[in-house]
Amino acid sequence: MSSAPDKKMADGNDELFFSSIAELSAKLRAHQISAVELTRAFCDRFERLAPRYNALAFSLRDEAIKQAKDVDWELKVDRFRGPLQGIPCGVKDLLAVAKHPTTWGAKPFAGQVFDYDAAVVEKLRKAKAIVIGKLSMVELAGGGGYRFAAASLFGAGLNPWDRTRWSGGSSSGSGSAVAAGLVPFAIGSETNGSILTPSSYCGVTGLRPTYGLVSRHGAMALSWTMDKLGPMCRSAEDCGMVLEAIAGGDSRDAGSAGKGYFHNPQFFRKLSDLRTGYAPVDFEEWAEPEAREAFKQALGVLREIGLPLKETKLADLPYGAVTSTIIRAEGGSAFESLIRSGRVDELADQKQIAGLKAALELPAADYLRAMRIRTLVRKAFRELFVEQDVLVTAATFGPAPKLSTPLDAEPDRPRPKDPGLSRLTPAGNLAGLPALSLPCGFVNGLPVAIQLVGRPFSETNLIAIGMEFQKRTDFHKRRPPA
Amino acid sequence: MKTTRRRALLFGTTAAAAGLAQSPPPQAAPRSPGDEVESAREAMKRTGEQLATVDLKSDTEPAFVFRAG
Repeated sequence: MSSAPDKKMADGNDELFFSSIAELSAKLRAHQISAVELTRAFCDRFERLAPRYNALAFSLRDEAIKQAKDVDWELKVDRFRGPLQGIPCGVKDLLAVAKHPTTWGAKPFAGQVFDYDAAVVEKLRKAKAIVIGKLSMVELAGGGGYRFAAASLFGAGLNPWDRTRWSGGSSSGSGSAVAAGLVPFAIGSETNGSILTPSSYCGVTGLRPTYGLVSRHGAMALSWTMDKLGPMCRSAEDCGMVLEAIAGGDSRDAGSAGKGYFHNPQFFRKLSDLRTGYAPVDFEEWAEPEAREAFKQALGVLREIGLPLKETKLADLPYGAVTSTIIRAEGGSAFESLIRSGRVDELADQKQIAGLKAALELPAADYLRAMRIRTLVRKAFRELFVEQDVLVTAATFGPAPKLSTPLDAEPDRPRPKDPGLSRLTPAGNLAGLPALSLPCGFVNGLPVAIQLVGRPFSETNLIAIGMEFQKRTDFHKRRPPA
Repeated sequence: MKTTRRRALLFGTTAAAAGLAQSPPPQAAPRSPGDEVESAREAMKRTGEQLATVDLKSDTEPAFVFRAG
């Protein structure tokens, strides 16, 4: 294969790089492009442009080309494996890829190499997706808490919509790489907002699966009871296709639910049957003033779809305190040897270093109390989901912040008295609920998004709503400046 | 060993990124490492106080399950 067509694609055919999985799959099956050509084109673009956003951890080009050759052989004899066959993708650098560095975004682990693949990587390869690279992340997924976007071995994640702004964390590279058309989809992870936040800031569609639906074998452990892995894609439909490939039981993951996911749009429920809870205060007071119109329009689209919207609220529990206590306790234990060795001081962010050191002093009584309150959180959601099928709020209340803004800065306006559903991100993570981040508008050229949250294992409902929302809007198709 | 563009890309990223990380991030107000740890301890204390505001019955078990054997 000559390199000339690849260069032409890489330089002149942006349509290809912003195509959905279904569109790319159709081209491969129709032999309009080979898997090797597609992989080379994406590798060229990824290696050339990812450093611009500090999204590149490592290129896996050689392996990727080899896998693409296998896919071409299969396609030549019309052996179709599914929609991910031959589709390039990236994975967050907290997932082990055998014999390649896995840094967890942290300097003390810069030389770490595993001799096995993470379960998600195994599953992507089984589906014949082509893993072309590893994507940057906030160091240790930000487990100790961090003050600056630059809390990473790879530097601050830069937002493709405006490189003076953050791409979000901790799946920074996954968000920016999908947004910039460097990979058709990526795998991110979420303990408390790490898929939803970069998805919202970068304008991509991100799915946080139910806790236990996707195996974490081979993924960095931050919080054993809260860590989840999920897809970050161009559309809700793409999220469904990727989730089908990566979900499933795994005895190597103690939290595995032993369940799979099947993306079958023909079995979607009637959307007018999905009772949807929302809190007006989220969009009218919690949202940043300039983002309110976009959220209002998004609610209008949900009404057009036929979703019966009804006001609701969360139980009054200290979600933030419970979340931070659990992550501190479990993260402190997971990284105990790093902390006690003193190598924790090599991390980039002073607040993260201090947070991890202090975590070893967290009283067991506090951790147990937090886990007991978590039982109340689960009970409260079970009761809420008797009346509702889906909850909707903002994924983030405004667009991406400037890189120089301290992430722990006090807000410059008073907090509304009514919490509404504003604490749905920590609450949903505590209860292990699935969530979908959907781009819903732009504020001064920067994307904003809503999030949909459902009962455990109700990803189908969220994807169904997301697909209908994206039939009526084009925010997910817009591209950042070249 | 010949250094190609590819090799530089594959193996040089960590070093380059480490260099980036070595340049200190902007700090709102410089704090000593000791102050940072003290601040983290204070934050833990405050969250502990928030947790203490919730009434828990003695039969409310933690949200994890022990399975025998």
